[in-house]
Order: sequence, then C-alpha cells, then structure tokens
Amino acid sequence: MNRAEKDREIIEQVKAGEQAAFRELVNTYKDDAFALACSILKEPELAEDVLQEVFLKAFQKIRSFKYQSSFYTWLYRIVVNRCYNELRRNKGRRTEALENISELEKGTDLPDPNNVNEYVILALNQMKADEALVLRLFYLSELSIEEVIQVTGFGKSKVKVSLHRGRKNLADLLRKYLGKEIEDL
Amino acid sequence: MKKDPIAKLVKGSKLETSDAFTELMMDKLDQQLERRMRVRLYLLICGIAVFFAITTFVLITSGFTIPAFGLKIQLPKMITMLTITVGGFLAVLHLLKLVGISSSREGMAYN
Repeated sequence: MNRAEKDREIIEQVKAGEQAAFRELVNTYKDDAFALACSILKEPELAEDVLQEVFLKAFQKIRSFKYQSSFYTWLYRIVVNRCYNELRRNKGRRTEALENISELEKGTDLPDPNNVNEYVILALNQMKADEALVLRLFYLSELSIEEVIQVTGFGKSKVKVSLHRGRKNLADLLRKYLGKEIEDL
Repeated sequence: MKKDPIAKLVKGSKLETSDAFTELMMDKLDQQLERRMRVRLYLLICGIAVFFAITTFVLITSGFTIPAFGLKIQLPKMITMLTITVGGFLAVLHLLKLVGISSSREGMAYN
C-alpha cells in the first residue's frame, strides 16, 4: 500500500468519526510539517504552537477534503499559509529571533563541528524563509517541483530560483561554519 | 538529481517536535470536540425551552379549561408575558455563563 492509499484509508476512518485515527496522520506528518514551519518562523516553540493550530484546523476541515490533491500537499499548504500569516503578524518577534541567531553565531554556543546536521539546521535557520522552505520541501519531504508549487503558491520560476539560491546559500554558510570539512559542496 | 551532497545534508537534518506534541494535540482535539458537543446540547435545550415557553404562553394567554372540573383559568396577559420574558432572559444569561466558563477553562488548558 503506497502513501496516498494509506492516507486515504486513515482519512476515511477519521471522516467516519474515528478520532483516534487522526493520531496516525499527526505522527506521520508532524516532523516534516514542523521543519517547514521552522523554515518560515525560525522559532521552534512558535512553530510548534502554530502546528498545533494547523492540525486542529485540518481535523475540522478533513470532512471537506475531496482527494483532489494528496493529503500532505493539502496539509503543508495549510502549514505554509498559517506560518506566513504568523510572520506578517509578528514582525517584531521575528527580528528578535534573528538577533538571537546572530548571538548564537557570535558566541560559543555553536554545535559540535562533527555534528554536520546541526550546522545544516543552523544554516537553514539563517536563510530566507522562501529558500529554506523550498529546499526542505524538495529535499526533506521529497516533493516534486509541481507539488512545491502547489504547497507554496509560488510560480515555477520562483521555485526554481529559490531552489538554486537556497542550494548556493546553504553551501556558502556550511563552508563558512565548517571550512575544509565541507569543501566538496 | 536528489543524490547530491546538498540533498543528502538537507535530508539528514530532520527536525522533531517535542515528545508531548501529539498527546497535547489530541487533548486539545478532545476539548474542542467536547466543547462543540456541549454547545450543541445547550442549543438543543434552548430550543426546547423556547418551544415550551411559546406553547405555555399561548395556552395561558388564550385561557384554558380543565374539562373534568369545568374550570377556566384566565391570567393577565401582561404579567404572564413579563414573567416568561424575564424567566427566558435569566435562562439565557445562565446558559451564556456556562458556555463562558467552559471556554475559559479551555483557554487555561491551552496555556
């Protein structure tokens, strides 16, 4: 059974009133959705709060889900919309978060150099929301370009440009952090 | 195309929600559903109360008889109407208070 069929089966259970089945959907998609929310909001606590609201909203709206797209593109679209709305609402907080990241960069609190993944997360956190989002959708969630377009609402050219710039900026940041260890990027 | 180093690095840098995320979400969902059920129940009670109030009002103001005793009861319309209006108003206030309490409890649970 592939991902879409499995999702469909669970969604039908939720539609039939089996609330517990929704837990399975949450467990399947929460981590990827969280990564997407972090790409935009840059604050894990805020991203989790927003994600809780997103899942509650998804539960409310699931009865009207007609399988015109896959469940994950539908869910990620809600995540992305909700996060950009939050970002617009809390521009002040966003600036504060970026200041904290800069402090981290300056200070001694940098991750262990052997833990490259931590640096990738740090670098993605410093990148523009659009670029980090497109990179994570394409590489982490393994969506196609068409699906990325559906989720973000960006045009095809913007997705491709964000992907290209995102790759370049991520490589530059990792080279800056890790130097020679990552020269082959 | 996705097998390049950048793809590997992004794929490897997974983020995870906190351990309690799912439980917290399911708790909120339970509270939301419970609240919705309670509101539906209140609306049902309200509807039944309004129906009985109107029926009682119509019966009382039009005057009714008890056939076995040949008794005809006639109440002053204004007093009856005022009593039912005040009673209904108090019932609605009580209902709103109950709904308010339930939603503020929910708010506390979210914090």
